Amino acid sequence: MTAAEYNNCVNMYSDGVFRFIVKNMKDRDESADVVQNAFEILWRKHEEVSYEKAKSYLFTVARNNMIDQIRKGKRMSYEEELSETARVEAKSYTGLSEVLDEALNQIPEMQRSVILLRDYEGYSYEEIGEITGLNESQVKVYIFRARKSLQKILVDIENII
Amino acid sequence: MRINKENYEAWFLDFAEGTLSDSQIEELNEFLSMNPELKAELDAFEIIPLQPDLSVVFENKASLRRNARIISFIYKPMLRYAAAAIVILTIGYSITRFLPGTELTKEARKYTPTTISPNLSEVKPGIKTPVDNNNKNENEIEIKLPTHFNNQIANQVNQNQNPSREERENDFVVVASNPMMSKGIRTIGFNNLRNLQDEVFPGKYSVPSYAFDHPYIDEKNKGFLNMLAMNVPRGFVPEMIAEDMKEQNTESKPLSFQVPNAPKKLFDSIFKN
Repeated sequence: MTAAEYNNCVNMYSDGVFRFIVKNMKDRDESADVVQNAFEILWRKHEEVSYEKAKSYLFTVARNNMIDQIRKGKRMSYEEELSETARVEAKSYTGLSEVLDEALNQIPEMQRSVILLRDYEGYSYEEIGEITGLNESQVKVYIFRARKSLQKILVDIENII
Repeated sequence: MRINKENYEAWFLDFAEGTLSDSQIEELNEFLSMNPELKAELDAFEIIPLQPDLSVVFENKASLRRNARIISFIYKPMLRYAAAAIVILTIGYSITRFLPGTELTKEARKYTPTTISPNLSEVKPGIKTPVDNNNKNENEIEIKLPTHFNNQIANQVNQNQNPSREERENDFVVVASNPMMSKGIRTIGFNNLRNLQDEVFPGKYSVPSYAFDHPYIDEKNKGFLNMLAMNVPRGFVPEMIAEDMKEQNTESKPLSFQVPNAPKKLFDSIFKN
């Protein structure tokens, strides 16, 4: 990939990677750091990474980095996150997107990642597998579970409202 | 893969998305008839697509963009080599002057006017990479210049036209590169030229004389050499050589004769590690 192609990647993918990470990490500053780091790594490797593979490379690097950040304790652990977010609080919601956001917060990271890659970025199951290290069937299973979980949480929230 | 209790969720998803073939739907129905407790799960399943919030954007895109790295032609380790080269060349030149008669001396005498005597006060460094990258391990000389930089391409660049793909790919060459970490040949793309040309061309830049002996510089790049020779300071790359190359269409190895192989060896020691 040339430097010009790398810069095209910045224009085309930085927003998408950022949205994906923000949805997972919630913290915009930390997410911006992850994006910055992912592009830095892509730049260092830009002669080895083909232009066609750059997008999935970016998502892979960013997601791995995000998981590292979480594991390093910069954020709460998965377990803490899940136990905290599993508590359905009586919040007021103003729209479907906010309800969906809340629902997304409550599902495990892997489920959240695969469904975001599918719905936000339109990746195929095979591509999602490459990014997450799963096989295609596992990706589908995670997405099925994610959609089922979202569905259930949405019903629960609607009941509370 | 046949449906079973381990993978039925993947099948349910495919069914909901309408991607199962008729025979697969038949297989799914058969599976459900044997596992009726799962039918309710499928019936209740509904796809609620998520929509990205497009107002969420990465603000500081400028910080992510990069230009091709053009690192100074002269950097500290190079200066050390340059100083060593001057000493070697001076000694070598003196020997050939005072011990006449050998073939080597005769050959060297042809190039007496071209003895390297770099005037460092005239030397302009190449531009440094404008982006402060964090790759501390990268300590390299990277000289990238066009092979056929001419007014036509310059105009195309200035007028924001796209040179052909062939032009973009062939008009630039790595003159000399010492990538400690990566040994790949790097080229400057068209878009980078647009950014760099005002800073790099036209102008006089120091180029190590041994660059002329670089394996990348061959007959097909003589256009580049002409341009290069006309743009470097006198005394550093001799004008005579430029004229030779221009008029005689010679191959680009004149400096290898100047002093007994010193530049070549020096070059090898630097660039072939």
